[in-house]
Amino acid sequence: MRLAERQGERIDRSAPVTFTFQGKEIQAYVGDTIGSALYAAGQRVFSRSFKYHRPRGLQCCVGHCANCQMTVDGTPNVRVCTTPVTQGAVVKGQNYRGSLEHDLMQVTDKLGGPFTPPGFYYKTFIRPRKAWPLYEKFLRGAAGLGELDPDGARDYRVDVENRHVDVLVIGGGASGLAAALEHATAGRHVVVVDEGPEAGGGLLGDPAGATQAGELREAARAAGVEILAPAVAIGLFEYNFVPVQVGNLLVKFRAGTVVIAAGIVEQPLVFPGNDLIGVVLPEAARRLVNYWSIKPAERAVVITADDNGLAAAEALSSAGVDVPLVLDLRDGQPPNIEASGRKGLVTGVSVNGSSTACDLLVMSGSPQPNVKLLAQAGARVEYDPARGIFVPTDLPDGIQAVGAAAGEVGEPAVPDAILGHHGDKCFVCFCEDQTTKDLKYAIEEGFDSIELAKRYTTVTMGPCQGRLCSTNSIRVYAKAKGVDENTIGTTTARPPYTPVAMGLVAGYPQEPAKRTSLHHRHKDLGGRMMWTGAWRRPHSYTADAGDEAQNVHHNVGLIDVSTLGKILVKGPEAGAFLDRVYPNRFSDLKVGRVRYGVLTGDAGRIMDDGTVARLDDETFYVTTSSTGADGVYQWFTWWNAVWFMDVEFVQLTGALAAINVAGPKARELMERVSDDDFSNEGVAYLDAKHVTVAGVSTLALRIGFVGELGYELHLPSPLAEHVWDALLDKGADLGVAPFGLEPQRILRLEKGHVIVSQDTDSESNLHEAAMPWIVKNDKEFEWVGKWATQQVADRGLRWMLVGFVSPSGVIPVEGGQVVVDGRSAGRVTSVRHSKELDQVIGLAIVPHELAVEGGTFDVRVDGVNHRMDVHLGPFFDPAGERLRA
Amino acid sequence: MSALDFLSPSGAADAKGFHPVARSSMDRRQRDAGATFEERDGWLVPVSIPGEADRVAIAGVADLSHLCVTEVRPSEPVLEGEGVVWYRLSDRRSLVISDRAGAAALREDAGERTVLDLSGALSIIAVCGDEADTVVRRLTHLHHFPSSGEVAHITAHVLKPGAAYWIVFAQELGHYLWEVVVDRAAALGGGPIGVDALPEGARA
Repeated sequence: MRLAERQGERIDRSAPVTFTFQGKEIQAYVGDTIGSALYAAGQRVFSRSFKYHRPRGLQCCVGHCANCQMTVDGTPNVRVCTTPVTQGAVVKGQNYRGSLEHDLMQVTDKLGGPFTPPGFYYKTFIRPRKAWPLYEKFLRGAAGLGELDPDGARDYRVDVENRHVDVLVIGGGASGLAAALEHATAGRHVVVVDEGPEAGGGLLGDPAGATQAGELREAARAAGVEILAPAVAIGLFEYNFVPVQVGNLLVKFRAGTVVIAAGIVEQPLVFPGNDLIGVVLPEAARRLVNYWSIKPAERAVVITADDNGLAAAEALSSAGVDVPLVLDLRDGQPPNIEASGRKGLVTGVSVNGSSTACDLLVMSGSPQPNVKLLAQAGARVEYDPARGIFVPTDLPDGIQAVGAAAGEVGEPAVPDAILGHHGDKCFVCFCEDQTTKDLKYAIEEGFDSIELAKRYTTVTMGPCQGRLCSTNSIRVYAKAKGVDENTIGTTTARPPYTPVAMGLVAGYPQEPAKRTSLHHRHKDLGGRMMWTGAWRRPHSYTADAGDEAQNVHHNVGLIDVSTLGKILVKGPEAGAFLDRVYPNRFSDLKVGRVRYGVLTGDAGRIMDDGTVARLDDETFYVTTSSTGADGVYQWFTWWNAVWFMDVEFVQLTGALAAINVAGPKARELMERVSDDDFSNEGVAYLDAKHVTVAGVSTLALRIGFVGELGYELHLPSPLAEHVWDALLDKGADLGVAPFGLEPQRILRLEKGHVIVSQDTDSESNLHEAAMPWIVKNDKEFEWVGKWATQQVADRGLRWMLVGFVSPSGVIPVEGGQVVVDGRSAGRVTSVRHSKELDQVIGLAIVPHELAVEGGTFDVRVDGVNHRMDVHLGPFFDPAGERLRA
Repeated sequence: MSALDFLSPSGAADAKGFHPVARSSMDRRQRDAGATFEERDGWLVPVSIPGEADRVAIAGVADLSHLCVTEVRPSEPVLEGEGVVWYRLSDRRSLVISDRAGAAALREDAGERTVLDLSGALSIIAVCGDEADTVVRRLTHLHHFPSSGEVAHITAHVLKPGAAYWIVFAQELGHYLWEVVVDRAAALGGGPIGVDALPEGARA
């Protein structure tokens, strides 16, 4: 029931808002939360508890507990007590079968209790084994809170923002604002974050305090303090890193100093019936009355260990609620408290056997300083037995605590850990439905430390993150074990401080794809793009990749190889450096010539390959595989940090585009776009020559990339489209056409070229990859991997990479098993059908003894062994005549 | 002729009936946005983009990739010049951003130092306007400028040579980063602009 307009109320009665709850229209006002509006409309059952499906209602009204979680506009587990109303919102209850008021699953509370003690899932639903799928289906259906649409996509935008500040104050109550003002006055850049709709904290609970809070905010802002509210600090990490949720914005604060002014977390008392609807914490009663002008009950009882309960009693009285009993535990502790109820709603309370009827019971256990973030930061937290609370005692550098969070909470009473004799169904953990009986059971089972109890019973692991149960569970454990609370200790505080949507943490979806400067030309030409490492590259341009390969054999093809790594190695010792880092020799490479190279790691394993061109006496131009660009650059840099040679490296991968022009008509095409001499005399096989192509300074490498006459053109990336267009334009009558990665695979396989990481793995070495000719052991320096490579040669070869032909035409899968004598003995690494050869050809790793011309082995395809014939050397143009044409 | 001339887009010239023009890695994105291009110093430069007048004061995003980026080794001494932005990466390396004439002058004055034209390697996005700070904060944790580090999950240099931020990054990521930066700017009411819309103090 709404009260008449009150001073300081937070609702705007001139601004009505309508939303639906369970399909029913609810009237509210701007300033209401969904929870307050529902309460004003008479709704008392807000949710069902996780395990026993007990009815639960508003308990804290500050977002600390999880008793009011609902599904709002499709988002589950929204705490409606702090969620502002929005016009047209669709609000639904969750975690019930039937209706919120009559949940069929409550049978677990009535009947299942004895069968569902802590850890029951380890002990039951085990036999018969065959029934497990049924059990699993049932358990999965019963578990969890709320429902997610597995096919749903986020339909709202999130952003992530980084902020660096001198001081971040977490908590905008009186202490927080005062601390912010002090820091700002000293000239520091200060931001205050507060989880409430506006800063003010506990001051906002009554009209006079709200006025004071307003004045504090104004003073702080005038001093330059930035106040963010509602804004929730999710955690406190190393180096004062604090992610803060501000709506759909995740602000990552990095602060010189973090001031924790998070106030208190009101604690429940532990007694039978303490989870009945209508048993609330003091701030809930104050906010219902003072924020939203609601008369929350007709008759209320207050049992309190501190002044907060008295303030609640005062607020209730001001709203016309009859408060027949205010029990201040500081005046003496009653041995027995028990709440009674009907249909889950409180109807009375018995204190030492004396009953008082009521429809609201305010309980205030103790004002626990909100030390969660401090504990996350590494602060030491100790129990103060005189006040029954945990307080921070030792703070890390750069962390401050002020106000109630620092322990300034007065002198509350220390209520008994368990108040009540009847039974043990006093709830300690409301989220996980853990009672005093459950905790005692866990101790009896041997889980006698609080960390073990947490894992076994799940106490403190629910969505309230232990706010309402951490202190009480430790105190119950201490009482049950007969030791003090400091001996029991606390559980480890971990982020997040409060549940946070995964979508917010994930941030904005970003996919940093690398694209060559010809990317859009490929798309324009119909290229089907695929991922190769971080790059987007064309798989092929036509439906039949074999035809693209054939065009290279018979006309001329263009392939974009800009993704190749390109590293400049420059300096007086550049040649000597390459001799040390490669197995083969480069110091004797003549200026203007190119040589193939394979890199090995310390253990002699093949790590990358590419070409090395000598541009002048001190300058080498190294290409690597597309995925090896960064790794090889780092490898060079790392080794030179060891050797201190007079050589520098420049990463040029992105700077230069590379286009391979290949095919019997390649020379004719080059002559149409350049005045340079592309004859065998002008640019011989394995030459590296500076030329001008379509007006662009270009380094042309004549290499056998795909087995045909070819020129690999390296030129500035921004000019790549121009050169590509020129080649396509001038070569139209020559049949020039682009070819993608798939036809490239066919062409390279025809030549028996090894593709590092495709035909090699982390165990491959030069000898067993059939490249012993790379190894130059007569160099005067040790080279990286020499010893290990020599060890392979000395011990004898076990495996060999060989070519094979499939005589039956069956195409095995890459990775398919090589089978010898019925046992797995190797694998297929590459296989394709070659139109040019009209054969299925491939490479495979086989036992060394099978690597002989005329040898055979089986490959299993769809469960059937098929014979493959070993082929040593290139399948196509074995003499390399076409390369040298 | 140097062995490294083939690195430089500036080396392109009309020949054999060809007229080479350099394009930024973000060229297609600007074309999609309806940009008007002009040829300047051998580059096709997006000089204006429809709707830029509404965006430039809030969060304008412009492509300055046509500027010359030169790496100089070692860093010292710094060579001053009008419109020349000198970013010292380490004792051994500096990046220098300038127009074509500035780059030519630098090459002349560099003496024995190693001078590499990395204009083809690095692209530049400028962010200007009242919300430029917010856009940058939504891209990176970097907060002292110039600085190098992660920007939208890639490695980049962020400079603030004048009223605008300049994000200098590997050109092969231009398509991606342009999309991300424009997205962040658009969420705040900004968006892509041509280079001529950049305020005077934001160009260098």
